[in-house]
Amino acid sequence: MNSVTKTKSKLTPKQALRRYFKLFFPSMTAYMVAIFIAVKLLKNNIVTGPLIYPIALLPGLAALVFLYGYFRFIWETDELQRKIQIEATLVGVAAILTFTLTWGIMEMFLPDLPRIPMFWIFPLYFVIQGFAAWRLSKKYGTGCMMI
Amino acid sequence: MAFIKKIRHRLYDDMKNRLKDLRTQKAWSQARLAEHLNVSRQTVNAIETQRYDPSLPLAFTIARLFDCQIEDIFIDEGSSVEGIEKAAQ
Repeated sequence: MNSVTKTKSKLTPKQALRRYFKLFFPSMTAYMVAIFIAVKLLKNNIVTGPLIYPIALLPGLAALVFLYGYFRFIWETDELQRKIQIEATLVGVAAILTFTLTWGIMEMFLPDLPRIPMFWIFPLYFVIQGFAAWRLSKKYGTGCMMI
Repeated sequence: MAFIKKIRHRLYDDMKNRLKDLRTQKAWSQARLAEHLNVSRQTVNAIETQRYDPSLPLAFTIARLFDCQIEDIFIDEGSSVEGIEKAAQ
């Protein structure tokens, strides 16, 4: 590639996607293993004392690695995919903020309403974000690279 | 709703381009052009079908690749020269 066509990212969009999946699968596996360990050890009271804190933090650390890979992909991919992912992120954030605010207010006034554990926000956000990315990809007439 | 549609049209739908013509003149596939521009084939397709207006750096890269000016490739049909001059005053 000559200097005339040089752009910001040194990677091609396909290379960026491969790099993303290289971090996605290990981090998601680590997340599931960490959840399994945390549930097994903490719910059954196998581990007690101060050690419960690092064990409870393990799934969060795995999620952090996944998020790093995701935002790195957004930065390294080409501009249309970046636009799609950022617009989808805005949709996801807006939807999840509205939902948690509404549900939180309802919880205050309706005692029979089931309490939703906070850890559901993360997967719920990515379901909405993924759906939005798919819809936006259709709008721009392109396939979503993430799906 | 009509107002929002009008704004959307004003913001997104007024830019036309000749990218497909220029690409076919060189007998390049979308994939080959995408390789030259370091973007995905889907991005080239979205630009050619007028669904996406590229960023200024990418527009300059396209212009350099085909050895012409940005205005030769991208045509802003939404604003006339008179309109731009009036807005600048």
